Amino acid sequence: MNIKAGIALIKLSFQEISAYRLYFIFQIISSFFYTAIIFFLWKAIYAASGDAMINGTTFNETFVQLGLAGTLINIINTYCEWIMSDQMRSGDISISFTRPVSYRTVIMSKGLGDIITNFLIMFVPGFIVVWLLTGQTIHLGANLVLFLASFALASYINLLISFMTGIIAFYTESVWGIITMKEAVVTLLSGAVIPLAFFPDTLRTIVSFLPFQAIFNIPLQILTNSSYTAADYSRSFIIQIIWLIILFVLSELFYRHASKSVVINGG
Amino acid sequence: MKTDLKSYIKIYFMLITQDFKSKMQYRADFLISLAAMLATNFTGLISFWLIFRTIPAIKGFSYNEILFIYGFSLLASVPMQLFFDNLWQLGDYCMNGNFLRYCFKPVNIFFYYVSETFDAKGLGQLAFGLIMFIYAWIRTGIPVTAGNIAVLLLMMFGASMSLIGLMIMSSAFSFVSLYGNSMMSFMIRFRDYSRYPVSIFNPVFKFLFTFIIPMGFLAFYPSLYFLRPGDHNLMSLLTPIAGIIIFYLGYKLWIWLAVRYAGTGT
Repeated sequence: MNIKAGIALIKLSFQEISAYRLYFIFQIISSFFYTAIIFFLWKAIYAASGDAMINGTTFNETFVQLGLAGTLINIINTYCEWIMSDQMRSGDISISFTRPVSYRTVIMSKGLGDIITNFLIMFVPGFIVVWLLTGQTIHLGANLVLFLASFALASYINLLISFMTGIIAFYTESVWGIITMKEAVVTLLSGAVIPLAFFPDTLRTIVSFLPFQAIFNIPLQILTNSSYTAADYSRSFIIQIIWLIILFVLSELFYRHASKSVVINGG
Repeated sequence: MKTDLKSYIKIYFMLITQDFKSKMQYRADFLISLAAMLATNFTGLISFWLIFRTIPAIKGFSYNEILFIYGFSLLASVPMQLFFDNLWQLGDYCMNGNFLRYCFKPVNIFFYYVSETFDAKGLGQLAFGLIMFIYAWIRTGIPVTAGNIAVLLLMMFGASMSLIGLMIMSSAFSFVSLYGNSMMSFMIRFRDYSRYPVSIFNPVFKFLFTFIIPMGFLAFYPSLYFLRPGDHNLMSLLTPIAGIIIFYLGYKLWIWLAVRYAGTGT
């Protein structure tokens, strides 16, 4: 990857996105509603169980996880697979092949720029709402720093998955179908809507061998799980890094194959 | 140009035949989209199953009752998916100025716009929703009477109209801003959470989700008529009326903004 060009592109997307101020206000309001719904829903679920703990987690832990996941989803959602598909369909992608920077670098840098901007604008309000609603029980210390590092890795993993989804969508000519299917799988198996602690053991074992839990479950566990030891933290990071490497290599292979066989509409 | 009902029906079939022909070229796309639709519906079901593994009921509503609401919600979403899917394209059409071509048709602009697409993958949702709903209906032991079925159709109508009305309203933002699609996604997210009892909320949010963003009418209130027949809940009886009002308001707003759409200047 061409680092210098990448940074320039990241800056560009930062400028582009700050032109859409209303969009962020909208996203923040939307997250606020989502957080409220999650709060009442899980409050009712915990009330129904009668126990303070379900599957070994308290209401606060569950709510912090799911409430923050709602904000994190909005942050890492860069729509890059939709943009790729649009460009492939309209033929605009042909311009990208004449550029000295690879298309992959362009898409990944734009994605990273979007994520950084989203994070700077949306994370603090989302975090504060969850923090207040749980009575300030999120521990604010080294875990916050580790969380940020882990979330950075998670964002990149998600971006790589989106990039590959974009390429598969292009091959199958089914943009909506492939992207929707990916989203259904990622949302459920990443622990973003139902905490993985609620999964039956076999399912949880399967999920632990998939990359999706590295997107939400790992960073959120790092932030909220008070019983994590140094060994747990390092194991979490190792899993993320392994997935990052595997997906990076895979996406490179996908990209090489696709860029050789790309057929541009209407030339 | 004749604009009576008969000619409208004729135009409708002409338009969807065209749509069908162009989609026939992408059969793989149809199958993948169908699978994706089912996958999405299925993950919803799994979520409920995961929650109810550990608790017997949410606010007194059992697993089967929640599945009833879920099935109802899926079925009530089918008309939106089948007949109004083109609303999702409105943002693009307004941004690149292509919407202007609809302004010159001698028929109702809203009618022409939505008739352009018939989204067949909604049939997958219809099948999934029916299975889900029939299963839940049997498990909850609701009597199958002519009266219940007639009321069910009326409730379905009301809930569908409410959803369509909300989506029309949201899509209308595309005429004046860049946020029509964000607004629609926002509504769909609400729809997904309208499958839980509205009674989980505190009074402020209950009011909000009944009168301001009326997501209670999308599944919960109409289902209450069957799940809690003794309660004679006013809100469930109001479902059909709410549907008509929301649809009417959405339609009026859409038309009002559509005629003011100024194009992009290109």
